[in-house]
Amino acid sequence: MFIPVIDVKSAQYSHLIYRRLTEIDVQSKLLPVETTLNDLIKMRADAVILSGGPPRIFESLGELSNLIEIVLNFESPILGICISHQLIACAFGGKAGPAKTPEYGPVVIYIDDKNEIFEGFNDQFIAWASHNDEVYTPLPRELKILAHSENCEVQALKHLSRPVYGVQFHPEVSHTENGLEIFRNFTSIVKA
Amino acid sequence: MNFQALVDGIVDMIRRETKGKNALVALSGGIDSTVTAILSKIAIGDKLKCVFIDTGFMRERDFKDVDYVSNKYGLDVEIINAKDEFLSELLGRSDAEEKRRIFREIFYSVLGRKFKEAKCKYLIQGTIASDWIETKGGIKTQHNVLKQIGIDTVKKYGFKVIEPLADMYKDQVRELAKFLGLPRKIYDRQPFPGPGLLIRAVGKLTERKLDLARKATEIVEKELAEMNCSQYFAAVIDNKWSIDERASIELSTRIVERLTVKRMDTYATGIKGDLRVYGRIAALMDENIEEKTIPQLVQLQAILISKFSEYTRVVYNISRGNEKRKHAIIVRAVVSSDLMTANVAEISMNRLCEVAQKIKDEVGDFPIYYDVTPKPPATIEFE
Repeated sequence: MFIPVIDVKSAQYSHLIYRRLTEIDVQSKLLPVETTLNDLIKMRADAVILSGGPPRIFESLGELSNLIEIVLNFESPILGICISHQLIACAFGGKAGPAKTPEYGPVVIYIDDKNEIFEGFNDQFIAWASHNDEVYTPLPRELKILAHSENCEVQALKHLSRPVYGVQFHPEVSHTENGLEIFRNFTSIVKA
Repeated sequence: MNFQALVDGIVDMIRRETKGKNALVALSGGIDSTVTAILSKIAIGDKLKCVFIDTGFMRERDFKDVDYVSNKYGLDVEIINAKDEFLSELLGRSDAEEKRRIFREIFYSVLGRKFKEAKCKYLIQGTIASDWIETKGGIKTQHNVLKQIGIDTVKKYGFKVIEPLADMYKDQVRELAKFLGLPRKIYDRQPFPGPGLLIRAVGKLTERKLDLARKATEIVEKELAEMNCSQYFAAVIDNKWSIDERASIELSTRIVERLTVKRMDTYATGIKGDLRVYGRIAALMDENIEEKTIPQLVQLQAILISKFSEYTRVVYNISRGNEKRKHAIIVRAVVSSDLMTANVAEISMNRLCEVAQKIKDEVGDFPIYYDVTPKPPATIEFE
């Protein structure tokens, strides 16, 4: 299985995503932010993970249009983290922007919908976040909220009919409880 | 991880890259450069030379550890005294990034001269993943990251850089060190920044501040040695501040007791949403110290930093001290395996107050604070 990671502009944790995938014996590779849908198809990616990163979502939708095209048209599973989670919401017509209460460090995540990406998780767990922006509600019709935290309504989302997932927190950092399980669950979705 | 395959791969790579020529490793006494030196020794034997640059910002134990490693592994180490060069360029500098960049320039100029003298063209260094990720991401300039940010080392300093550990994190290097049979005091050693005490003398650099940072760090290292923290040290800031009324009211209403927030004049490095922030330090003054726990204080920290975006650090007063003193001392202790995220170490208030008392007795009656900010939004070091 080959799951590349698109690094959104020298993100702090994109290389950690790569590390987590290799830890569960998935072949991976870090790709630059300019990567296109065609590149992914050509390299026969079985899925793709889009990293977090420093850009602010409301200023960056134009320059990240190649990633929006991937989200809309790549037929294999997609997992977007942090800014890429916000980008997924925007790609389907939702809105994202500055968070009323930004979160840095540990937050409690409450699972609203125990979906395949949260298979095996307790109803709540501690994850680490680092975001200035967030996804606004209501979500577009084809997206669904999977989890929230005290200060952030959309901590995780999925598309209703396609294997597209987003998480606002960082499952790849070592302080997130059972973070590796999110990647395991994602690879199970890829296999299915 | 298959460590034998990893070692074989690195040894091959070093042999291939150095093409049978001499190479140099800059040792610091830390685990990354030590592992790099040992692997280089396996790869190229007597063609390896090591140098240890005495920057004036190192601790006594760094010298001891370099000495230990060089004896145990038969490394040929030359100590270069560059203390005056570093100090004369850096005294009076305040900005954390400026300090780091100047440090890097002097460090590699000194090395460059050594390379010319030794007619050597290859530098093998222990840069790890967290170093280049933070530097490339603009969070802070790790001195040992050059080519990743576009510095042509051959042109600028006259040597090519080889980084065998660049894809590994600290916990993986520790595992590798264990595999190589290094003793616990090396593989368990707490990280110490390349620019050393320079960055822990926060704000304008003076010899007095450096001296205080050295003494206080030594005490914290001794006192917290058995607490299973990953990194624990002291930093020194200027004791200048004003009361932040809005933040004081916000916190006091949240926990229904009087807390005073001091807004320190000194800036400190932080990271919010993958962006570098050079922000303010909020210092909490509390009458009921013994009733607080670290998780409570970390929560107060989160409220403060998300509501008042100018702050990147929250520190909590563990010894009032004499407010007339020109400096204040920060104690920091964190838990982290890979240095990418870090939790505040959960040490009891009693124990923290004992550490503060030791500092008061041995260094002076300064206001002393414990840093209650995780990474993010802080960084692991205090600068």
